[in-house]
Amino acid sequence: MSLDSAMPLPKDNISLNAVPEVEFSQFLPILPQEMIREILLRLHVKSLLKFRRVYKSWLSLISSPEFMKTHLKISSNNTIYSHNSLILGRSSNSLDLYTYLRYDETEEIPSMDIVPLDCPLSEPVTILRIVGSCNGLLNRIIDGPLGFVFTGCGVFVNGAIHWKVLYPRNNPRDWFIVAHGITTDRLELVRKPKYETGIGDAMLIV
Amino acid sequence: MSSTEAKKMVVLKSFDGVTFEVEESVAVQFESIRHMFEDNLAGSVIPLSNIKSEILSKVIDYCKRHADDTTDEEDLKAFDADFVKVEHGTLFDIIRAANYLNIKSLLDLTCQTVADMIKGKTPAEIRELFNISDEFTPEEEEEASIITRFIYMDRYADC
Repeated sequence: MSLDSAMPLPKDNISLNAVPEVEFSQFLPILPQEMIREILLRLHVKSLLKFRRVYKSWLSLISSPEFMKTHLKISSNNTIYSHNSLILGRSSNSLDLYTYLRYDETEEIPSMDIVPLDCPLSEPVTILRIVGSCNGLLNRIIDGPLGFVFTGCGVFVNGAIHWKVLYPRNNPRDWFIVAHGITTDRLELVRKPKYETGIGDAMLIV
Repeated sequence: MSSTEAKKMVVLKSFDGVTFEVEESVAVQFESIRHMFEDNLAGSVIPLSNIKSEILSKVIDYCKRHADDTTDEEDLKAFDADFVKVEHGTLFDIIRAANYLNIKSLLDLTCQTVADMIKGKTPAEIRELFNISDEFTPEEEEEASIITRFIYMDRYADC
């Protein structure tokens, strides 16, 4: 066995396909996966959702719980813009959920940046009430037909599930939220965010 | 109190053989090689075999500026903003160097710059920029979407 063939090939960031060498050398140096991760960690959620489709390795990276934990940690310390501070809910026959990225006023980018979220429930609902958002976690309560109240499940905007709304059956108004604590890896009570509700569109600042 | 002692110097040698003499107060920012000069090996040259002189000189500039307590924050911000106005290839090289030398603030600065640079791009543009051949085949794309849907299925449980 030659030395060359015994050398481990770096995974994920080097093409094994026949791409002309010349084009390569004129282009950028290839960044190791570790540094790609550092860059992706500094993106906001909108870009991450979009970039899941870029490479297989990016999809698995962005979808990994480790990455989400670190991303949440970094983005909650971010002073330039706060992610998903505002949640817009739309009342319609489909569940349209949007996150609203609130940029710092000094940012030159237009401050209105609405991102549609993946939504797990596809059945039509009559009223969608956004209850609040907390640290990138989003929750909602759906008033279904015949007065039943469905609890919403949380979307961690990177695409994972972290929270549920629970309530005693005899008193649906007395709801509370439990979430998967990313630091403790346990289900924990989440402090209720400040919220407002309205008929139809709801907009909240948390 | 100002010291009259000669400042301790560290000698670094780039991949292409250029040597740089830097004050220890600057070089301490190079976390990963810190132990090498803290062991007080006076006069020894520390080889940095994977950093080009052009990049090393930039990195040293950066660390000098950041080691200087007299620079005010506004100036430092302006310096940082200017520092990253380089060609993409150079910027990527600096990221690799910052990672290798473990200079956290420089890694933060450069990675955030790339993040800001790519955030508005389409996946196709990203592929062009990063030059990685790791694309989805249509089958894999379908599979990825099924997996994603499967993950979401969990949300139905116990609702």
